[in-house]
Amino acid sequence: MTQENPRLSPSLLENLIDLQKEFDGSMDFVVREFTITGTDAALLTIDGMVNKQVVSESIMNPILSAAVMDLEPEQKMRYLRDNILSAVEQVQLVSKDAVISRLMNGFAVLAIDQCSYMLAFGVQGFQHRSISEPSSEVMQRGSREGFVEPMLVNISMIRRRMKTPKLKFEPMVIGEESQTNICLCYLRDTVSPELLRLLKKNLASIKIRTVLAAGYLTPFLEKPSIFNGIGLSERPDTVCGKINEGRVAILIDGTPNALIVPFLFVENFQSFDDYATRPFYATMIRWLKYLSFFISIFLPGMYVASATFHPEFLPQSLLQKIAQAESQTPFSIFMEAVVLHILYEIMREAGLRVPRPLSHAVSIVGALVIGDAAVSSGLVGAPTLMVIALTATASYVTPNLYAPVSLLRFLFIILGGTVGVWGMMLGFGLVLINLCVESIYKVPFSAPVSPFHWNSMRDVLVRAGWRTLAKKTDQVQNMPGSDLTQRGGSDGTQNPGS
Amino acid sequence: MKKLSYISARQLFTMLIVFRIVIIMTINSILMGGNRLLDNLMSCAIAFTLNFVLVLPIYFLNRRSPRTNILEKSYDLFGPFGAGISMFYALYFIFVDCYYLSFFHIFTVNVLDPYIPFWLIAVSVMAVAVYGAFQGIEALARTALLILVVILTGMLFLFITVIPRINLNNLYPLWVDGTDQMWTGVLQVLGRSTCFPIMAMLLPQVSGRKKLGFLLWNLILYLFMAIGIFVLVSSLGSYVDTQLFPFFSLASIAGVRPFQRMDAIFIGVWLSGLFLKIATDLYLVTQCCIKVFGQRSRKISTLAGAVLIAGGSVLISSNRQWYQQLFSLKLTLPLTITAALALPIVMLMVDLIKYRKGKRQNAKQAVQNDSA
Repeated sequence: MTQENPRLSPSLLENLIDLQKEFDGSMDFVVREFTITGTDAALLTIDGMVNKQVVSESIMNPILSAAVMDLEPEQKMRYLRDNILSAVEQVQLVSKDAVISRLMNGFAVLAIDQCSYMLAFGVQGFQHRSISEPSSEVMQRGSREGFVEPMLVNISMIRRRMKTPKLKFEPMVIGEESQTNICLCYLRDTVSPELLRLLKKNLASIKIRTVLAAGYLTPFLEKPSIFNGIGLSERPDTVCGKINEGRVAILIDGTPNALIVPFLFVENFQSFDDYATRPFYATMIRWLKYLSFFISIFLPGMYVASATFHPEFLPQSLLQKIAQAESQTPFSIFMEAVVLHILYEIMREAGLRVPRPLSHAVSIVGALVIGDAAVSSGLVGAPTLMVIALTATASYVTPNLYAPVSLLRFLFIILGGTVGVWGMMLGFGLVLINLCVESIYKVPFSAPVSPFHWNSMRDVLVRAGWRTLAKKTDQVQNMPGSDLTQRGGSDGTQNPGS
Repeated sequence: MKKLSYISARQLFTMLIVFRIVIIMTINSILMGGNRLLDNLMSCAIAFTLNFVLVLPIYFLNRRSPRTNILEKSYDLFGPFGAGISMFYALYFIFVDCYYLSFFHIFTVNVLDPYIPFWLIAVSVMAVAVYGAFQGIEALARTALLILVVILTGMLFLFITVIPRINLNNLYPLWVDGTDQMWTGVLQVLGRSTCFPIMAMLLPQVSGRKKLGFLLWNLILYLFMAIGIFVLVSSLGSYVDTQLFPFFSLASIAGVRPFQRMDAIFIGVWLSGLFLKIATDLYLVTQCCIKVFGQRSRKISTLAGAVLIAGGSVLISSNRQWYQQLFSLKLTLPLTITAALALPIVMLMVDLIKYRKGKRQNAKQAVQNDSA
């Protein structure tokens, strides 16, 4: 492979001065100078990015021990390339940018004086975390492997699961300073060309200095909305499943996650475990997830609205219990709910960020202070505490939705506590419109529920058995209302005018 | 030029079901013409049949120009005078929304303890409706299906919980006091048929099986209304005739063990349909204004429409005489008949006359060319 201009100088000294200037004496830029039968040469590496043992055994030792005849420098380089170092992965570089890029990616670069090109050798050897179980997507059944930081390892994990030449990995570089390698991953015959074109166009237009996590890219790939139209997964098996449905995965070097484009709302309720368990149980779990989603958003708001403005909604016996508990506390139910919700979020954030040895202490303090002392001291009522606790637990059933759910819950507590059930219904309407208006790469975010598609319900309302699911895979571009394969109406029907 | 959004026939009629259910939920004996609500069962049957006639002008107009809505057609036929028709439809939709929102006000004042001022409710509803109108018809159509699920689930739950209270002894023979109530009911139902003007506006943007959609829409709607009347009369008895909002009364008495009253369901169902109806009408008001004032008036016309609806409903519901006028058949029926029937008929006839004239001229031209 030959790189494009600007071309390197034939003078080794000039090239080295140029590169030293670029790195400005950075301590990890290592230049090892030597001679090959009287011709000056140098091996350039970035310390920590290469495997030193491989460098010495596969590059330096063969070069220094080789009997290279006194030829022209270009001929010497060719001889080394074709005879001495032919066992190592090689790339021929003719521009300074290409040399820098390869060095940054863990290549060792051989330069010879009066030779118009340099040779890069793939000797990457940086340290990285070994493959382990994903922490945020825990599964009972299925693989225990999760993505790690190096992209190449992640690529191999996907490749191992999909042994087809139709699986394509397409590299790109994003980030003016970080020059982060990313990789689009898709099945050539399954993905919509239009989706791919739009995605590449979007990625190419991203202007950002550094890309250090998947979250840096998502705002550039979707329109602002409450819910995410770009999925995130730590699991190679999940990514393979999504790719199989015509989606595109984006692997980002240095990030143990893959972005999945497009990602529909109903996918938040699907987990890999669903497909590894029996259908009736998976269906029940799925309905539990739907219920939990509604509980986690509406329960506290509804509780506050009912207790404050519409006591007639509650059964009399329950109302009496609430009134009894609340008569002992100094604050209104609305205030209690808001404060408890904020306290809970603080405790959760502390639990996440605190060093692991201290996290137990945080949990104990949280449980004692919020759970017990607050009620026994009469600061908050037990029913309110129970509602917030139930809501918090329910919100973990759909972890992908935690962020929007948390915000919406807060919004609905405020609406319920200030305007009552009317305000909540209007808020609900607003959320519904927001959910329905979004189109992720020309696929309606609310599909296949609205626009409705009966066949897709086998993996939405229920989780049908594999005998049914295996008959036909629902491609994302064929979702009702999708404009990826056809210029159709939002119900998937062909426009008469088109 | 902005790309035209397309929705399917299924989505259009889903929206229209939601809009009609919202208004069906406000029926009461007084509005329907007396104190024998059961007579209105036949009103449903008659209105169901009449709807097939009412839709004909819009259907033929659409068939003659499938990709032209009534506003564009009016410009094609009447030139600049078409602006008058656009403005009529804009004002009609604003009027309809004032009607819907004022009804909600009457409900809050008369049935619930109003703990927040109505203007605040009106402003909140309009804020959500404006957001919806800005998102366009596709988003509203998708939202409609989810709202229909909410409404149907709510109503089903309500009907199921009220089953133990159904007493067939509460039913009485039809037309004992004559057929006046039945005919008033028919007129009331027709006066509230605001879906026809919506069809006239949106049909060109609709793909799919429109005729089947219309048939199902009509059937579901009047079945729902008939079942509603049957459940109301059989479970509430004569109490139904004294209630301003019988469906709410039904929700109040309904109860299964843990839930003693179903008021929340009623309010939820009504409000969720209401904002969607107003959002769609605002979208249509915007389309009317765009036709007259151009694309640049898009945002301002939506906002102006929202202010007019909110202000109008607050004003109307603050004056007893005004809202009595608004809710009377004298106003709603002529306006709806004009928007749904008269204007489409006039346009259809003018279109036919122009077409025949054009055909005759073409034939004359052809003869002249031949002789030349």
